[in-house]
Amino acid sequence: MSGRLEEMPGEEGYPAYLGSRLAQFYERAGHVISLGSDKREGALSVIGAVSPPGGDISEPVSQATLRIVKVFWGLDASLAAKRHFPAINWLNSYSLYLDNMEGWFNKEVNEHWMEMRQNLMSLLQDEAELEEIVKMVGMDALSAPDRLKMEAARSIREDFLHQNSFHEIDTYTSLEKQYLMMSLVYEFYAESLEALNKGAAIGQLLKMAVRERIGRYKYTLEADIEPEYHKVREELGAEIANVFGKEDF
Amino acid sequence: MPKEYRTIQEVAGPLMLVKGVENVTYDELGEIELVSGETRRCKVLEIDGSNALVQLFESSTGINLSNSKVRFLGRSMELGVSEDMLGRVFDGLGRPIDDGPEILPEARMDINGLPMNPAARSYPDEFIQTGVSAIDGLNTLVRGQKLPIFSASGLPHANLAAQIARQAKVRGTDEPFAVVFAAMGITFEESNFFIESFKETGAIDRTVLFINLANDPAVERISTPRMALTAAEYLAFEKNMHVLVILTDITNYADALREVSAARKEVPGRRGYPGYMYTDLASLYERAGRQKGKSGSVTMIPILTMPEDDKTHPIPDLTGYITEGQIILSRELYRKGVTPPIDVLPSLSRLKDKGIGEGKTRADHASTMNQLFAAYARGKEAKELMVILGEAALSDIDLIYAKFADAFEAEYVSQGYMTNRDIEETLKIGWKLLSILPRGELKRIDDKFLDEYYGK
Repeated sequence: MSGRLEEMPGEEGYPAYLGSRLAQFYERAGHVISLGSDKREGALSVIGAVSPPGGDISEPVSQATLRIVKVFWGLDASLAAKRHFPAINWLNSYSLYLDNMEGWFNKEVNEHWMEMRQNLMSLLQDEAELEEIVKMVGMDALSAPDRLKMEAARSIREDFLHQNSFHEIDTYTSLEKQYLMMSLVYEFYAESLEALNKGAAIGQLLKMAVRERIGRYKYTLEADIEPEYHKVREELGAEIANVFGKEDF
Repeated sequence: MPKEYRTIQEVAGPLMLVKGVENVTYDELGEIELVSGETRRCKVLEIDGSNALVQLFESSTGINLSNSKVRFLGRSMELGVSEDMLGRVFDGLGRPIDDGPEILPEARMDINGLPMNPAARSYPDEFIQTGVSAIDGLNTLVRGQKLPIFSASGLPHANLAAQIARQAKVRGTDEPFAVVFAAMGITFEESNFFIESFKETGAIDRTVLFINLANDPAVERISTPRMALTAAEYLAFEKNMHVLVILTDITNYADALREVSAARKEVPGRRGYPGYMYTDLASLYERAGRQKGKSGSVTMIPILTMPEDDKTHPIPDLTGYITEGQIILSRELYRKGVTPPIDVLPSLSRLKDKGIGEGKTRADHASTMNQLFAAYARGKEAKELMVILGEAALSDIDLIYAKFADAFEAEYVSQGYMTNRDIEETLKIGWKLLSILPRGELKRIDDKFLDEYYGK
């Protein structure tokens, strides 16, 4: 349209008012109490999809959108190629509502929700750094705690973040279940780390059978999540106690 | 009664051509009366013989070429200023939007301001305590300085700016202090965040807000910072207050500038921004400062989001030339949970040396600052090496530096948005961190200070 109107182009041929038009569009989303005595309350949420050429978000439409929106879910072609779905890149996606939502999550779901989220995020962050080393010199060059960290991060990715939308149970996960899933994954890391510091062998810790059960936890029916969680926790405790005394070969 | 013209020739985007006008001058303000009786404001951009090119402040929807009337008001854009503006909220054109009464102006001032006489400027050298260690300790802000925050989409620059506005003060004085806040093209939520956080802490009583939201006309955005600076200059130089001006977001301002420039069919410069953007930005930033013989001052913190996180983009690039340093926020630190995520090494305050030292902060400030910079830089290098070669490749001393860098980020930089540290506390934490390093490594610090503070 802008070209037809013979307007001066801005960046990459888009009209110069691209940014303000996009802002006007996204600002139509909001939470309002309508005027009048009946206090009608309503909310309009907008989820916009932008698919930039070549997946390169440094182009004007993506950048103008990012400046106005508060939450960004970056879909990642390489994750999709690895069949990791939903293919949301956990490192470059963000939400600026974290602080606002902290109270809600901590009150409605679990008081440690945000703390747990930060724990898992740090693990994923560290994984990305360690991955560089692994690419260059291989897994064996890592110290035992770092190997444990890598495994824990893999567990976050595969047992928590990955979700099968065609699986009857896995397709919908309540917040309570999500919290229990996060706890299991994190407790595996925390308790193994403690065991490691007390002299347990890393190979044995990584081979524990309970890890598969943690991975299967996502297929637990919503009704059974609490008892199943406690069962897995017990098994984790028992197996870790078992690991002591065994040596890596 | 000014002459009314019914000679609108064309309307294109935010511009309108009026034919056959007489005695109209550049930058003059005008009013357009629509058939419905509604009036809108406009400004003369260009005069060519008897043709005037005017810029509309609101949308052009509904302007009927043959039936709409244009009046020119014989004055340029002015803002009626008064001390009563404190605690009030205005739109981008200086009209109250907080349901309060109109301001009874004590004076009307041209929003383009009068350039400060260079000879009348006095050098900024008074320390402002922001309560943020990474700024106070390492990139000190002084009165009359313009220090931008370079941020990027998704980083918490609003929290940092609100924190500075809440906490900033000059130590040992109780001279009147005010904050002028100009929002350009930000979302309702973001502006609401600022208003709420000012209200919560009571800072709203000493704050003037000018708000142009993302869905307000982009053209209005060009006058918003000028309105704010006019109010700031009035409070500073007529009412002897110390004014902190926060402009957010300069990137939206520059985009509005580009929008108008494209509508005027000007030849675009880098990335489509007009060639005069440097001059235009300078005409804003240079309004900060102190004047001889006046006790007030205007200190400016513009916030800009770097598109694509790119420091060489024209907006941060040109801003960097004019301002006296920059505070850079880092996505990497933000992901690590460092709040505020200030990337200390590339951040810089060019005027810091004038504002610190004996009598201003403390005698050991300058040398500890340099030592912290040097040690953190070395620690980061050591950490990079560790990523490539593993921990075993580092010498013992490099391991200590790596540990120092981690502790520095966690304790010195990361303090949260609600912590207000005075300069003594900042220096104390600095010394505590430096004590991680062996005394022999602290070559930049005088023995006398080491004796007094090291390891204590």
